[in-house]
Amino acid sequence: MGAIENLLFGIFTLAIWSLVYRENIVYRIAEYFYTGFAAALILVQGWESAKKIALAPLLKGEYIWGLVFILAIPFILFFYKRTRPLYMIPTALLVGIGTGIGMRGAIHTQIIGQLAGSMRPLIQATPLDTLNTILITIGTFGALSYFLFTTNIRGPLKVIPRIGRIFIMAGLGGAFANTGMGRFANMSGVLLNLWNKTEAIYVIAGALIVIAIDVLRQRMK
Amino acid sequence: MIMSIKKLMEIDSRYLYLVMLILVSIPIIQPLGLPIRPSDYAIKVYNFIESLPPESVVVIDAAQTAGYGAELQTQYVVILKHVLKKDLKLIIVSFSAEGPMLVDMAYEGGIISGKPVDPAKYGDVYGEDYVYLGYIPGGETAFVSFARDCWMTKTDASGTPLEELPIMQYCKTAEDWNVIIAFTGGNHEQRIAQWYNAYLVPLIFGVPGVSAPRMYSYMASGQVYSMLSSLIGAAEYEILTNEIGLAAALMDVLNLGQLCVVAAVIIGNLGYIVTRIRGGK
Repeated sequence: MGAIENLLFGIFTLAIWSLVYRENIVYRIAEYFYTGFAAALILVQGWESAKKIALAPLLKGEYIWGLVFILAIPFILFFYKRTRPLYMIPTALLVGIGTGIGMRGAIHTQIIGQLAGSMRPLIQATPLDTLNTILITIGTFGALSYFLFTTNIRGPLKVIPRIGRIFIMAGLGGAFANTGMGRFANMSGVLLNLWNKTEAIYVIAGALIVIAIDVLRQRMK
Repeated sequence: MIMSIKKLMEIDSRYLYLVMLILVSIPIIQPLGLPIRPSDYAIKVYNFIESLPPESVVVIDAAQTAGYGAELQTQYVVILKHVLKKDLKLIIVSFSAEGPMLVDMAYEGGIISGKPVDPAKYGDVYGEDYVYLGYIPGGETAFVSFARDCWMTKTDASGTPLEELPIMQYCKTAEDWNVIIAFTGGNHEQRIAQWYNAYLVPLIFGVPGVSAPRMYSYMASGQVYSMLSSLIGAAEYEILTNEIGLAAALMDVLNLGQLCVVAAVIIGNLGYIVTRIRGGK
């Protein structure tokens, strides 16, 4: 990376992180830049793949690919009030195809496959695997009973949804820990580059001075 | 003691961020070299790739995004090196718009990617041993189309017709794939449905930490073969392949950061308990 790239990297990273200190205009500018760049990237990549997958064969005489561009026109017409409803035609087509494809796989993946995975013999090859399977079975029954809303479970049976709640809490705790680890992983990658890029160090120093001035200004108020 | 815990509860959270920033900066300046022990999941992925017969087709779905930064990119880089090192046929494709940018970054090196990967170093030739097909939009519909017809892009990412690339003779449909490795933060279920359930292709995921818990149930049911989880997954794989890179270097930062979070959670809970004991809300 060149010096200017390093500087830009440092400025935009610290601008985004400045939200941790407080809401400010520098953060907003960086946020809008990021959103704009991301949208531009998607637009360019989308157009490039449309050229490759649809336009090239169309120009070679495979006219069926013309449908792609015909169906794209109503999306542009969305911006004009009188022609706006036309966008529903390609949207309906997309939703229909997407739902059809999605449903085909979702039932097997998320219901049948998961049920099959949960219904295993309790006794496994090793004691630890057996313990694992027992825990999965108890957790599955407990968590399912927690979401059983058609009847109010009372008496000694109410211990089952309570156990389910503990399993759900443990699961959410694990998910939170993983999320935290993931966020740190991303931050550490950027932080390493901030420290290692000479030009970015100047930006850190500049940011610290700005924060120090702001703290003093707040105190004086 | 009780009063000081209560005071600690009322402290401005920005001080916590500052402490954390200072703490995680220490190992960057002076690496601690804490040990990394590969998990069973990483070992399973490694053994699977090692066991593939020569000229097996490995498809990599490079759908990593800048938002998941170091987590997925470090995984992608280390798996890429391992596959390039072996006598395998590597097809790379991106189902996310940011994928092409990050695929290029792996070859050029840089932020969140580490040192550049040079396929020539492993004796690999573009078009014969590996190819990049570029970005395919469309989500689940694209997964289906690509599995049915791997030639749907007609050209590779740089516009070379697929007929001119010998590697593409090995890969026509998903039935030719020996494994697919997807680096993605979303649409896992759709990939399982369209690639594993439809073609029974072994599916390995490289996932960010936030998605890892969802994977365990799919691994238990056998729908997902194994996974690399977050930066730790990449670091473990770097140890296994002896290709020490960015992920292993960042593990100290991650460990200290996590310790800081654990300490904050313990202090927060202690404060909560103390407040409850003293009859507060």
